[in-house]
Amino acid sequence: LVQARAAPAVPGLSRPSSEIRLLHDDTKLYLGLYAADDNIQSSDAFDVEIGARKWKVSALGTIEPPIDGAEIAFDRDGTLDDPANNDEEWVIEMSVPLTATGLQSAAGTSVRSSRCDTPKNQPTRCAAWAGTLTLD
Amino acid sequence: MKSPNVLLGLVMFTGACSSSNGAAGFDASSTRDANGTHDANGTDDAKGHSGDAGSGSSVDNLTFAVVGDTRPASIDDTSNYPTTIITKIYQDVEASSPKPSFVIGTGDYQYASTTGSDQQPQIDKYMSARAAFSGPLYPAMGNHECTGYTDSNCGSGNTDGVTKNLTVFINTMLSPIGETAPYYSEKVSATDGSWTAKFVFIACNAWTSAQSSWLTTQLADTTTYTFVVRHESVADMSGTKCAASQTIVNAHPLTLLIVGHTHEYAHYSSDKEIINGIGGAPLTSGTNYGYTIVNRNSDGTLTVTTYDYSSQSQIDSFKIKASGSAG
Repeated sequence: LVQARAAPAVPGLSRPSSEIRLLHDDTKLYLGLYAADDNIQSSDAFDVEIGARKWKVSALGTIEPPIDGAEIAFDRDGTLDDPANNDEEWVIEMSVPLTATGLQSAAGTSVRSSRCDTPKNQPTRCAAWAGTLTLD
Repeated sequence: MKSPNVLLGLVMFTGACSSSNGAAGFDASSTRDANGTHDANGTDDAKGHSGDAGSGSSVDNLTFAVVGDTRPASIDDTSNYPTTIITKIYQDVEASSPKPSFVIGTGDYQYASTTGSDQQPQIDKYMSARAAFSGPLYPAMGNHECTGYTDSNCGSGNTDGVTKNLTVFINTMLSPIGETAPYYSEKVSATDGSWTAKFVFIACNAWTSAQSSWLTTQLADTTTYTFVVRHESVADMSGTKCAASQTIVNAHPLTLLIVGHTHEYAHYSSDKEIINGIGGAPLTSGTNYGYTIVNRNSDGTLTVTTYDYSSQSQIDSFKIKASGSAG
């Protein structure tokens, strides 16, 4: 099992709303990323950190640096790189081999996910969630 | 598949650690039961969608609330429906003084896959929350009452057809007010005859030539106040199939365009538009959840005030004339 404790540095919900969901089976870690976004841009991305490993997961459905064996799918409700209208959100679903995450059964591993976004006519806002994952 | 616990299964990010930065017979005074269904003694008529804006009925003063966009962040995530937020909003509206005669919904009451079965449970949660307000609810259709996509277009003969999302919306939310189609209008007037108002609900995600003709007819009906309710804003039109609706609106008198879709509050005086999408859906800006109250003043102007549902503090307040210009 994976266990985690949320460790928010600043209380309160993020705005724009952002979520991360985590599941696993015996071989893979599954991540769901949700981003409310009124102006979806190619440069929009989540930063995901598991231990010392860091990836950037974008609204284009890309993972940088690439992960061998990873699978990713995306859904966007809005128009990419078109600020003329209001977009709603983008969602990422991805799976990563547990071996690529560094997650181990005994020791807890720090996990952090963050995102910055600039809503139209508003300042850039950033938010993050951090916790500890442990595979029993 | 394993999920360790709720905290990990669904983690809401924290912080905002900023870096740099046709209808006939509208009766606002009729009574309905707690579920929004007709009271046995109610006076609402069954309404069709002819070009007749209806004779309406009368109220002492024009006071109504606006609530918009209530849904979970993720599709079919009924267990995380924002029930607490929308219930508090309706409780606040009920406690407002003067109490609004009715509530207008700007759309999106669900986030359900069209092939799934979460539509009814989510709409039921909304209607249970809405029962905290004892007056009628007049809901506009949102894109999530079609397929969920902004550019979706539902209805018989349209690209996306009659989805389960649309059917549940009509059967559960429009049926209590006697409507059978997602576009409709309501009319109300002063008991002393000093003013009249029409509320024209556009279904942008069920756009047809028939609705276009209907809209032109409705807006040609002369009233003191004209409120147009549509889910998508002026800025959203290029991403929808109903851009023509804005052309029609622009060609007629308008007091206020009331929209949602974007999960924020905003006022664009140049478009005579307010965006209220802060009814529980994931927020896209710094605005907190809340609701809007529109109240007619003795001089005929309208005060439009939006409140934070948590603190009851004012998010915004402005005054307009019947023409929509600043009051």
